[in-house]
Amino acid sequence: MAEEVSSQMNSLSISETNPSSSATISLVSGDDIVFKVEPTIAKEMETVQSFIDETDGKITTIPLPNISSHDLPYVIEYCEKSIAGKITKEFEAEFVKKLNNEEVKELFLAANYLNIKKLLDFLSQVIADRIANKSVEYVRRYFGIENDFTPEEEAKLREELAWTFTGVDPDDEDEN
Amino acid sequence: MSRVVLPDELISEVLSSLPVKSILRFKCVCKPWEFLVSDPFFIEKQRQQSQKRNMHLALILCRTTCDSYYYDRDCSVVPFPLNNLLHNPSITITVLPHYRLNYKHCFRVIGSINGLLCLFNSYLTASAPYGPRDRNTSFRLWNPATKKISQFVGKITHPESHPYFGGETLSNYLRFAFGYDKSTYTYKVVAFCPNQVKIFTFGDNVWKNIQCFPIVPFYHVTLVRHRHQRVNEGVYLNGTVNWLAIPNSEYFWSDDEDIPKIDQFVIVLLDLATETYLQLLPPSGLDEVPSILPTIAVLRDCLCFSYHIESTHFVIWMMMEFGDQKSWTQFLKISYDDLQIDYDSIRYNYPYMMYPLCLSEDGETIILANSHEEQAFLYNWRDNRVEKTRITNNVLWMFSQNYIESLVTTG
Repeated sequence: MAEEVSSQMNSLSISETNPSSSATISLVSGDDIVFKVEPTIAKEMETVQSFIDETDGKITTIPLPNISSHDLPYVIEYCEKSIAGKITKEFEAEFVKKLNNEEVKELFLAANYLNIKKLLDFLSQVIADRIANKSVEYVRRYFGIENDFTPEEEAKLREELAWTFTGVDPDDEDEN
Repeated sequence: MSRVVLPDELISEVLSSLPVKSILRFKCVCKPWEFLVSDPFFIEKQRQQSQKRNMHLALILCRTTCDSYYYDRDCSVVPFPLNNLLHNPSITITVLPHYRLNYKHCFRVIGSINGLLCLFNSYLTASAPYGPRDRNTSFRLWNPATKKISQFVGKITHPESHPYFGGETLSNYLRFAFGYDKSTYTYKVVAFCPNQVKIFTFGDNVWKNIQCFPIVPFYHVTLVRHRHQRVNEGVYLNGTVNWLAIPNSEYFWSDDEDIPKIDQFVIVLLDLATETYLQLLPPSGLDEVPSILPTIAVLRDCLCFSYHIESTHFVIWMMMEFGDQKSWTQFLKISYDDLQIDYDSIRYNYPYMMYPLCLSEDGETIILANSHEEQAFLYNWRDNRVEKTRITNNVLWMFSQNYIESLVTTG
């Protein structure tokens, strides 16, 4: 995994050498790694853009303490594709294929924090697709949710909703 | 156990993107989720997601024969995802008992809004065996996704519709349309004939008389006789029900009559909130005589006016801004050749009707139902490609409805 990230960072540093890089924005991840991006990328991230606007563009280094250097390249990659108008079903399928469940959720939080509507909608659908046919127990584990029903309450509810329990995938313990 | 914990608002975002069946199952996850799923804000959010990303058609399937005369006898309503339909699989849909209208003691669907289908049951009252008789009609709301259905409500008595009994009875025969009043969040049925208009509100369960139409939507007698067509049943859009009307013309329209020029038609709409009428003109400057009676429909929240011209083309106009007559835009003009319609060989018996059912998400493929074939057209205008649907069941495409899965309650 570490290798994969660094290869992505390499591809980013290539884009840093772009001639218009004088106005680049530096995004600083929670673990203090600096990512230089074009202002157009920052525009996709509403949280970042409003920070820039508030300071009249004087500040171009933006700390993002909630986002790790592992997640940020993915966010930047998605924003680049979005600006280029190259978000296709194929790209999206490739994009999430490399992400495990925990990573998808982390990225979902990042998209929320940065306020990137498209990425947020997309990841929300990705998570929905991943859990749609799963069992109640799987979903509790997936989201780290405590079951607060009494056994009687749960049994009653399950009986009422018995028809919704058909066609559920068997749980696979390894999936997280 | 999971490391990354999502805040409630993101959980709600994910849940609202799930199919309704999964959402209901996950009520068992924990109490906050059980509560969330019944929350009106969540229900509305899920409805909007469905509308945006997961359009369906409610297909009307007939078991015995494709003759729609039997529509009243034994049919089923099966929600089918639009994306799946566009992939055009050759399949036979398994009809679960849950989808049979008979089992709900209903005949027909009169409309589909926000995931609710308005069904009705109608039976002849016992009276003299000859001559005009009365019908009792009542309604129920059904949400196929949650499997909830309301009681029968709104029972109303009105004359039987058979044209055999002549104009007098027929003009008292009630026609029905389904609508949603956005100002009060209530579902309504409009019942009307030339000298009477009533509105029924689900929830209050009362009928109320309102003023009559300024111009009564025409009644297509030939098609009623064939019971085959979806003509001028009233289309719902944005808190209003819309019909076509022809000023200074007879209420009954039969195929013996000459079709007026397009600029002679008006669209009459009833605003369900104010219970008032408005009139809209069809696209201006069209003084052509359509070869077949025009129809109105709704595609992607836009009112559409469509007609056949010169027995060679089918034309669809879209009103981009609802209520703004200047916003009419010609959307498509499709030649019969492209659709491979041999018009001369099919025009007998009854008029060839075509009905735009819905548009794909990317807006490039339109689904067209027609009165003479057992399959609908999937027409992609960008590359001018035509396919016919390949569902092997008997689908009454002309009666099929736009539908979305929702959690909206039946009251």
